[in-house]
Amino acid sequence: MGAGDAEAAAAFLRRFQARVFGLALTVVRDRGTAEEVAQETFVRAWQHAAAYDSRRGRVSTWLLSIARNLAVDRIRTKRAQPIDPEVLMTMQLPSTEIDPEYAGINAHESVRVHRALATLPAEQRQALLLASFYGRTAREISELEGVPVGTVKTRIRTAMIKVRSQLEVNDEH
Amino acid sequence: MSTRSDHEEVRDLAPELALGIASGEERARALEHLASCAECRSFVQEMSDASDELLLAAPVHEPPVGFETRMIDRYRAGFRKKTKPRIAMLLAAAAILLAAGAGGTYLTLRSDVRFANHYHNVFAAAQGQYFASSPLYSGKRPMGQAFAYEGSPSWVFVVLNGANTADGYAVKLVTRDGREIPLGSFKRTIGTTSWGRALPVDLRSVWTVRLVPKKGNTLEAEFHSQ
Repeated sequence: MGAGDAEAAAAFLRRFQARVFGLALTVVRDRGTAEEVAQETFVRAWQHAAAYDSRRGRVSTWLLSIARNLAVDRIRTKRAQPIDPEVLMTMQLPSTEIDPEYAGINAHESVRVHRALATLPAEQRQALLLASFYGRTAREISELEGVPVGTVKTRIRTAMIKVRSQLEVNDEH
Repeated sequence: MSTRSDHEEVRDLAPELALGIASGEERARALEHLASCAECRSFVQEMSDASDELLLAAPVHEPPVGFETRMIDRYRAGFRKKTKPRIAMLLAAAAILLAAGAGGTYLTLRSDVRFANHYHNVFAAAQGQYFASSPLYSGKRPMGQAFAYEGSPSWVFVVLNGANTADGYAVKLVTRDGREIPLGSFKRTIGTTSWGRALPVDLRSVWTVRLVPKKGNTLEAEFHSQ
């Protein structure tokens, strides 16, 4: 997608907007703020489309990592705010409410990640999701969960290694 | 400096580095090792790829009505064709000069060709691909210069002029995806002060180099327009 190509920009937007907005809303939990995050995500993506390196990952994950970082920046000032357990649950179970319009593009990607997450013990999954989606550090998670920092670090490390391995397995099928 | 213990420490820390939740101190310790250990760089990259994929687990939600229209309007109004990067223009000019061959043009531009060759040799010394510089501003006031190099390793180097009054600065990178990465800190010396460090990320992902004093104004050098 190059500069000045509004049609390509619109197609790009339609393809990914629900996923970007969904991630932003999951992290910031406010529709107005989530829209601001989603807007900024697409602006940055358009500005840096030329710098996107397809060898480094899919467009969807590149875009979502931009959205995640912008969303985490927004909630940094609200660190004391607890994470709603229901929000975490939605990421731990495969969604049954994916719009069929997106199914062909997104459903497979989501399902393989949910499958990988499902292989983890609950405490590892929880620590990994808090770090991945909310940018919580090991120390912050240890305070939230009431367990030693070293235990949280081990949970995150073990979980990440398992997830990476599971994603590789799922790729092969 | 690559020892077994550094290797193990960085591998243990790799998931937190990839998730962007490692502390500044941990990240700084890892940087030096990563600059010289391809195996650990590769491992951190694998962890980063897995970390990015995790985000696909987020629920899908339609944005508010009118989102698409607002974005397309914003695209049409605000998105301008980027100017060619200065460094790309320099390299393109160098390529043209090298291709010019013999004759009057070559003779008049001989010093430029020598410069281009020198530039090429400097890059070849450390697998360099890209070099850029940008003024460090406090508001609109220039306070120094930041230099950035993409190679093996990539690095950033800052030079402050004598007008600075802060005792020292924490140096941070702001990446184009909004992440703020602590890079280290340094104390000001009398007169010109300089400081440099290897980069933990792809130079092309760097948006801003930010110098934050304990007290006083933050200095920023922008790299996103290059």
